[in-house]
Amino acid sequence: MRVGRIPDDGFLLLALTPFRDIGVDRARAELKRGFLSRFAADVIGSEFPKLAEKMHVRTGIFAWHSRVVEMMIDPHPTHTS
Amino acid sequence: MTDSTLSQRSGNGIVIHGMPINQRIDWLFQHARRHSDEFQSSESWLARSRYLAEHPNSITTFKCMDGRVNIPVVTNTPPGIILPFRNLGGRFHLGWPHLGEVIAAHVLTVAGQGRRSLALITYHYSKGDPRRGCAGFNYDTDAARTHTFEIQRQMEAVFSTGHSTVYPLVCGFETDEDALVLHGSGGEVLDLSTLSSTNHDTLPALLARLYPDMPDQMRQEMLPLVRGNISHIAEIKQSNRELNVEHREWMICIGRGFDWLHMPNQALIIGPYSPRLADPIRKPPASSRPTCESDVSPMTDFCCSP
Repeated sequence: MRVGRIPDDGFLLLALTPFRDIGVDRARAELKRGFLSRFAADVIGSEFPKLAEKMHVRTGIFAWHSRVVEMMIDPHPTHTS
Repeated sequence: MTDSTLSQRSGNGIVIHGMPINQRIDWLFQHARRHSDEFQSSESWLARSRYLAEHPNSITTFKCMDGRVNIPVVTNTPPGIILPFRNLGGRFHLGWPHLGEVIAAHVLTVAGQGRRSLALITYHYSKGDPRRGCAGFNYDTDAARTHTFEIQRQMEAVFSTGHSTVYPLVCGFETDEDALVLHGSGGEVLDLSTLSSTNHDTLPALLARLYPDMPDQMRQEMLPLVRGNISHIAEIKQSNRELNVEHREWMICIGRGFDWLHMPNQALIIGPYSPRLADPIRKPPASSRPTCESDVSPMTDFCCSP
């Protein structure tokens, strides 16, 4: 952004966690993706507050067997564009 | 296999990096769908099934998040066969609680199925320009290589030096030609860019010399990787591809399951392995360092102010 190689309208923070089985394994993946996105967003927000204003946050879970990525907008309102 | 060059353009041919952020995110979602559709296709499923029937052992890689280091692509291996562990600079420590648990669970699962595990522990460098090497190690290839040998020692401390079930080997990756550089158990080094397809008949003997303590079946598993890399290197040598690519990453990814996104210049991928998880978010990543005057953070490349 600073040197114009990409548009300066924002960047993406994407947290993704995999699961192999439905049920508990998938539920844990959902919890982990939420934790990771909030953790990273908080680090960026506290260390680089101006940059955090341009942050778009998405999270997802990843099914190993099908490689399907279920994307979702992070519910964490502070850092979601 | 996904062509990362083609897929970095949208349907109407516009380079992704020039799009507004919302369109880039839309492209990302579409790219993920394309990848899973291809992975689930009958052709891909049959290719994986056939490969696993012929080569039942597990293959894992430890590698830098740099998008150039894509072992399935450079060995012509079907997607979904090689299990990657990625982190900034390829830095790992098996004492990290989460990493240790994930690897131990994988090895135990595989062993319980009667399969062995081959672990490729990689570092990367460029023979043409040190600044195209691994910035995660300050372009110090010796330091990167030394680190991989330390990981190998840790693997042996956990899974034994007997190597009958788990074989960790150190492997360099030269990014100008996408060449694997195999480090033998006795210190001998084999740079696959020095071989050609005419050497295929001699490969079993070469691998036996490099890895005399490796089970025969595991050496058989290495052959398609080696042959695939030799073929890939030949293609690269004829392609005259651009080597000095400016870094234009526009997303920071954290977690696991990013195989579909492993392509140059799109993403900084941070594995969830280190107990000091905030460090790689704050510190400069390998691939963005060349464009970054300050050592403050990967964010400096995104940031409008220095």
